[in-house]
Amino acid sequence: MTPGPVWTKVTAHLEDEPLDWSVWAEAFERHGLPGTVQTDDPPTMSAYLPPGSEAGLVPLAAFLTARGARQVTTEQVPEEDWAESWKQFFKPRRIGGFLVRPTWEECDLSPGLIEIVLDPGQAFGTGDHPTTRMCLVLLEERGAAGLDVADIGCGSGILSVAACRLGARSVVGVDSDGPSVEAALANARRNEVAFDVHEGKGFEPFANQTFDLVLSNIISAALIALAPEAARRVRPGGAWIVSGIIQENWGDVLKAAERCGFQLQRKETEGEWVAAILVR
Amino acid sequence: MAKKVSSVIKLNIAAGKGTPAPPVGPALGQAGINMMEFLKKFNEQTAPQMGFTLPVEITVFEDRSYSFKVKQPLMTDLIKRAMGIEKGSSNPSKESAGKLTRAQALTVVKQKIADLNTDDEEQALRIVAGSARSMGVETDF
Repeated sequence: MTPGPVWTKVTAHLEDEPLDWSVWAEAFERHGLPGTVQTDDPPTMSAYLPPGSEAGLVPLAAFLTARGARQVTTEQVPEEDWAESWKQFFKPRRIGGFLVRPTWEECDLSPGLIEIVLDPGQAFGTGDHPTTRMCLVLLEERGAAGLDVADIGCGSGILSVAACRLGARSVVGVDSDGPSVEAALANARRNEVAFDVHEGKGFEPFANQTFDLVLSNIISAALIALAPEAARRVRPGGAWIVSGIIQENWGDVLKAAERCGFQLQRKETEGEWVAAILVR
Repeated sequence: MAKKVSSVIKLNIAAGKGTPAPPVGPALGQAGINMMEFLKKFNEQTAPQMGFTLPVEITVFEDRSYSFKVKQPLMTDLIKRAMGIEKGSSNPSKESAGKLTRAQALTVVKQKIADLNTDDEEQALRIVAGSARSMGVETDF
């Protein structure tokens, strides 16, 4: 194989963190390199000379040294398809009875598995994280057929899609993060399921609606704050599936939920994370 | 908290012109975040500031979700804009690229102070003066 194009990464190592980094960005910019990367500790700034423009290195290095760089180093970086390289982190994976597949991967669906196709966008929830994984498993176990479901903190919408696929009667999602709302709606379309997603906090967008099943893969503090409202929104006999809890906070979350009338039905742990089904 | 920060990436990118080429590609590809999504948003959000280079801070969480914050243009860009010049001196230690007045420096401070480690106007003016001098611009304050 012939070696492909190579970029030259030029790094200025600084004595101390400067009061204003732009002085260093400007030094690269005036040599035709407006894009720079900065690290604070140790203080460095780098830019990349494109393949074929190595002649620019000597004047650039001299300029950086004259401006006070402690040292200027270079590194050869072979060109790759950077636009695609992040995708290697997301592979199709089987979680319980689900197959979670990123949009750009093809794979055969084994019989009996429910497929969820996802593009995470900027949001949380690729099935890659223990909190999402456990939530999916507990959701499947509890079942959603014929139920009214709310997904509080829906992120990429992975749990909402799963609930629809399990036959929920209705699903609504909410997230405080705008990009997550967009990602969730796009993932609903991608999976040909319909659910509403609102930008907002907790149950606020849902007036006085009640639900058979509430899913919350958020954080311990938010779960604790949400508990009293969750108790009002979960119908008697219904369930609240909670996740995103680290072991040391589990006791506090359970106490808050029990105070509001929930009972622990099942707890799942993976690494430092806890998820649970709470019932009313 | 489910959202544990795994890294913070600091880049300077030309407004409206982010591409997967370096430095963005290698920096974000390694972090495993959806680069094209980021670039699309960055370019859309920063198109009105075309011509400036913008510092952007990308916070990557343990689950590879991320958020980003675009800051005010580089101070050196703001100094050039305030003075109406294209670039700093090609030999800052010997030649002057012109003079930055206190009034011009104040417009830079006004726009950039939120990004600085100070909210004291006089101290911010001194930082502006320092940056101006290192790019070969004289100051009289």
